[in-house]
Amino acid sequence: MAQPVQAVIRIDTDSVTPAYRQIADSIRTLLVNGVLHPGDLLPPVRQLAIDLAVHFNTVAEAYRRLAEEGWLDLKRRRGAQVIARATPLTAPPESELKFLQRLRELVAATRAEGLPLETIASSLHSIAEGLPCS
Amino acid sequence: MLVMWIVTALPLAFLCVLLFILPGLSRRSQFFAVTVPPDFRETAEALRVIRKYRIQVAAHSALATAGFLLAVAWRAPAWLVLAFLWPPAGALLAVVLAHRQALRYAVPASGVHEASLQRRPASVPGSPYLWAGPFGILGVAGAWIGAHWNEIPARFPTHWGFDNHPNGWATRSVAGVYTPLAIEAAVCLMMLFLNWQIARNSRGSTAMRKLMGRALLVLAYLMAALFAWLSVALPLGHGAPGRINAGIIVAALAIIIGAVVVYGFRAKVDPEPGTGQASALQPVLGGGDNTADRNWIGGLFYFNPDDSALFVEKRIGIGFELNFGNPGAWVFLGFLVLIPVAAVVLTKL
Repeated sequence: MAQPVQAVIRIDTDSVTPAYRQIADSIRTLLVNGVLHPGDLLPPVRQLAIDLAVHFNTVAEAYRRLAEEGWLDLKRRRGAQVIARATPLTAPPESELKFLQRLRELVAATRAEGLPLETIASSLHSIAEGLPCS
Repeated sequence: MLVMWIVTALPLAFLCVLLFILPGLSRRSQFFAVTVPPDFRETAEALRVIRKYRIQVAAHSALATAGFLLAVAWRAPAWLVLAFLWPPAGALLAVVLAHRQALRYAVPASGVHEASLQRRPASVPGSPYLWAGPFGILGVAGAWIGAHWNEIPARFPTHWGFDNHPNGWATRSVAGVYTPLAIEAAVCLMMLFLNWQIARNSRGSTAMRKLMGRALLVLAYLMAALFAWLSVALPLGHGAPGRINAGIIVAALAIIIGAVVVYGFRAKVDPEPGTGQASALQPVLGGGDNTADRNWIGGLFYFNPDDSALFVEKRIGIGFELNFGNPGAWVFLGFLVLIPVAAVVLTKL
């Protein structure tokens, strides 16, 4: 029996990042951090789209991406269910490059907003420490 | 006769009081449907806008009272209709003007939207057995009429004028006898459908959703009981509208509306009791209802084609507002118009 999911996701409709990617990123963060567990049922596309005030297709696209990554099982009637997914032992070679590119952009943007370099470094360290190994 | 007029005057007075307190029936971060700082209501600017609104509502209420008194003096029902329509129409205009003034004090809109990942129950609020009740009442009334069909006169009065004399008649036919029950069954179906749509396609607090579900259920019972009584009493000659205790109907409606106002106000101030949150969708910035000020036309009508919701919680007042940017809203409105039109056509048959 799946437990009710007690989590909130947040998107910024003014952001340049497409809404579907923000939704997928938010849910993926909850999955990686262990807030969402295998067996958990996510709200139906209709409900999440209504609550976030976005189009149905936006949420459907986010769910589809997460399903492609192996996080979700999309069922016609029951909606999206979290499934067990092991982290691949070897990441594709372009993964690290992509990660570094995105991290550089994020750090640059955060520095531009005035956050001290030490705070950024310690935050990155504590996030990495807090992530589960598998 | 005097009692009848007093009973008719009470809903008008109740309506005027409701319109007078309308600005208070909104979240603290919203003022005439405009996103403002939570403490804005106590500022001199806000008090000035509210004062202007209330002066206008008081003026419209005074005009409506004059119209009502003329209706009494001249025995003219048309004036009575005007007296009841005037205050909401005037308040509508006053809200639009106040909304315009409030826009000057709006805080910059935020695009941050939040949502809980908790699944909402898919069923209609209120048990299906409870929703079967109003239809059961109508069914029993229909069966009772059928069992006493031979006692129904060939022609019986259905409408009475101000002079207390009948001015409308129906004949002993299936259409003539069963039309009120059929219309009420359609109205109950519409209320059930509305409840289901609010549960499924609305965005707002759980408290407001539950309140609307319960209010619709109670109203469905009240209306079913009234129509069942009318459907039995008119053809079987047990009474006439003049003998119906209108005071009981008015009192029941006043209790329902009063309860909706009291609980609705609480739902606005503390939408998720016990959680310590202002809302399940904890507002970060802005109004906390995931809608933007620019999508509220005149502060009253919501229009956002990019929003999947069919209903959103009202920014002023209690309940839900249609999203006119959603094609489903127009289909829904079409049904709302279709029922009274069908009722009129059926009664003419």
